[in-house]
Amino acid sequence: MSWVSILLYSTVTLWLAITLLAQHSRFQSVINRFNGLHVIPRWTFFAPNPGVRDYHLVIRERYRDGRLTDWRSVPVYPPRPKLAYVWNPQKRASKILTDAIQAIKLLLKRDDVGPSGLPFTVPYLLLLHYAAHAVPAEPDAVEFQFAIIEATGHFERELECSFLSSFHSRW
Amino acid sequence: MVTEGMADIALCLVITKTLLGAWALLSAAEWLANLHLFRSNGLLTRSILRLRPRLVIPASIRHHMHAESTVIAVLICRIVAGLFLLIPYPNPADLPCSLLILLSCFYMSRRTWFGGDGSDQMGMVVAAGVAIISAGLVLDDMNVTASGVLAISGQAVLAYFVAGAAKVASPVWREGNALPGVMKTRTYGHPFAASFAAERPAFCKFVCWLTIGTEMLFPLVLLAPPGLAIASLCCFALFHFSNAYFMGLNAFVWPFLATYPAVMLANSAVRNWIGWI
Repeated sequence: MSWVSILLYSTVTLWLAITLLAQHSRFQSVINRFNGLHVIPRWTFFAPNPGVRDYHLVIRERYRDGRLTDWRSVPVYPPRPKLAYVWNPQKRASKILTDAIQAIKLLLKRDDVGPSGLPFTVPYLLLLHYAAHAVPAEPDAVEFQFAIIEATGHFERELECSFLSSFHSRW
Repeated sequence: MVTEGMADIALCLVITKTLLGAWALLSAAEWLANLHLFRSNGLLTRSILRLRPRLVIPASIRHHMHAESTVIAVLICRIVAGLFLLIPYPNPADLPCSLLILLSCFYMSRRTWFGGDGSDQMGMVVAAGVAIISAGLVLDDMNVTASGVLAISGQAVLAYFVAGAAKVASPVWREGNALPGVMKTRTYGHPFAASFAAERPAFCKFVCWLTIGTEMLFPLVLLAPPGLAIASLCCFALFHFSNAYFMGLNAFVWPFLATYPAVMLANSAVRNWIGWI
């Protein structure tokens, strides 16, 4: 056996062993520190908690005199195309939104972040930045806030607000 | 001189790289349809993502690395590499093309941070495996090719087994509520499947347990007689096609099916090692 094949066998075996460990929550924080390129995959598809909600962003603004606008929907992704089993680029935007919201939920539970530290995190800033630019500002509005709405059902939608941001300056 | 084992591996490589090429084309085209996400007002704007911790690349280079033009260049490279992989016989382009796809996977996962899914992970695994197998064929080293087969088949076995094990640990799955819950969403659901599932809780529980059971038993494919193993893999392929139809998980089909030739080679090796052949 050549040294190249010994090296490859060892690397592949180590890769598989670390992949197996990475599936357990106990090892994830350690492994994630060295997994910037996502070389170690996570195979826990739709488990343990399958995504049973759709996520939506909404935004409202506050005028200088304190009045509030109605909530407006922030367009993130169009409905799934009919031929989604062949061509479904829309899934990327919905997955980004889902990932960012899941990250926000996790960050809220962390002692070193929590509600006070959340506005300084990247997932929060991503949604804030996107919401601010995706919906044109109302004339004379000076501040805005966004909310995360969770929904289920195809025809009769059940809606629930799961997160409300602070007000942020428009400019 | 090509041995019989090498001929089997060459056939495995042709099927695997063709499916990898198809996935590379599809995934790159779908990202190209989403270029607005990378712009200054997009969900993946570099003005925010550059704030991520542990970015080791210097800021001056990072500016170019995160640019929309770089994303386009990487995706075009992935498309060109994917097209070369569709050539239906092993050739010298396989190694650089699979390495190019692998590097594009690393780049996209780093650049996007959010939005990746299991198809991207398995695409990365298959690209790495194809690169190793191609290198083995170039070097005419059976052990090198075998390590590539081990990489792909090992990750495939882990993927299915872990997916099943994670579901069996979940009360939502065990009680059969996962299927109607997911089908009720517009993101991954389907109106017909949702209404069908809503009235049939026993059927939902059966489907959830069928998914858990078959995924957890996937490692047994390595021990099964070849005919039974092929039939099982056909059932798993149907599972992926149904996920594509009902859930819109179109990109999962290609990289997961691409692992099956390596799984069959691993089946042959394991049965040979045990002495069942």
